[in-house]
Amino acid sequence: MSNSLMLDELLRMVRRFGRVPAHVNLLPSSRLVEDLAIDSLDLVGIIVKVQDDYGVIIEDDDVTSLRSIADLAEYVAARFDSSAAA
Amino acid sequence: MPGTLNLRKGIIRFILPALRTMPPRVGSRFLDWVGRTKYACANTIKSSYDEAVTRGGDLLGCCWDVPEVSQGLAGNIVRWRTRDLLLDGRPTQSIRPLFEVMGRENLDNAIEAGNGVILLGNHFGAHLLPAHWLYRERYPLRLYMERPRHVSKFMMSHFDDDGPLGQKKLFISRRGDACDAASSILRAARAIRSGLIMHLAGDVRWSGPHAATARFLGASYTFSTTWLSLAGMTGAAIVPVFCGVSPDGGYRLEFSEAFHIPPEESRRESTAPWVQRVLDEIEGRIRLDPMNSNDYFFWNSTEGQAA
Repeated sequence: MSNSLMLDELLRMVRRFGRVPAHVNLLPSSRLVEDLAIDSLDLVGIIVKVQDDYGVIIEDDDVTSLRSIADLAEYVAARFDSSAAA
Repeated sequence: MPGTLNLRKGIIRFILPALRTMPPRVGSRFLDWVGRTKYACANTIKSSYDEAVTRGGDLLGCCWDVPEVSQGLAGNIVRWRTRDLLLDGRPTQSIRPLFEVMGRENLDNAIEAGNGVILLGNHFGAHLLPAHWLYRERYPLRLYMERPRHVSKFMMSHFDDDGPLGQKKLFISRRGDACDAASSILRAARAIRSGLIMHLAGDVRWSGPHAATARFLGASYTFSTTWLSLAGMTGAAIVPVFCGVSPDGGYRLEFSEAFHIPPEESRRESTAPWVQRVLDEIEGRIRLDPMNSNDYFFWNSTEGQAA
């Protein structure tokens, strides 16, 4: 899967599971909490969905460093590639 | 609550070490006597208790003997404030007879079922004693709550495990942001799935996404729904636990029958009835045993903020 395709999917996922209103412009640099006001419950929903769809494990300790959609995409891409290679 | 802070400090510093040299029931009855005496001797405390108990009785439709309930409540509040400190430094063999345990099979069966267990506590009675007993009996327990203070060294010895699913990382804070909260919930869910018993309370006033509005003792508050989120994520059995203090200083530890939350009912729009069910059960206990209601009658509308 290309990184741009994954990023598009993640943007859609964040909008849906983060319940981001349609009028809010989503960018890779958008910060999940600070810019999009996603709360912890929806953040859990996004992470569970990402883990299920991409078959990757997002470590609990790493969640606090995933501040933006780009951070999330980079994190998932690195693990998705390595799990695909294995 | 009137006059408790200085009293607790005084008791912890000066009296408890002496009480620990006595049989636990004797020590507990002494603490009860301290609370009752303070109620009887201090008019402001007496009137504060009497007003609170009268109000509570009216709200619950109960015709209590107000001075009797107030005095018993004042005694139990001193016991409650000293947490499990009276049991520190005693061998488990001497602790065991203090507990009258009911429904242990409900907990054991839920563990055996293998889908994880959420032990749903509350602040009724001796609220930290279930954890103390479970540690003593070597159950694989984790607390999912703010780190309790003023507890026994025995209990604290279980708090510093900082492994991936260790207790240290499972204590929660009202100060964290949404990422911290999400990280914490995912960790707790993983701990439940790994077979650890996750102990948290169903009557914690909270705000933010993990909260639902419910009525308790005639007022509306928002309460934590984290236990419902965890149940929905893991499919774990929920085992309610109550622990009352008996007049003789023993503890009545009761594990109720386990229940499950359908995943769709753990969503935020569906949680309020479940929260209300738990609070109704606590109100039922208060009706029957108001002397174990601790500070419920003294609640104000102050609520914590959380991510």
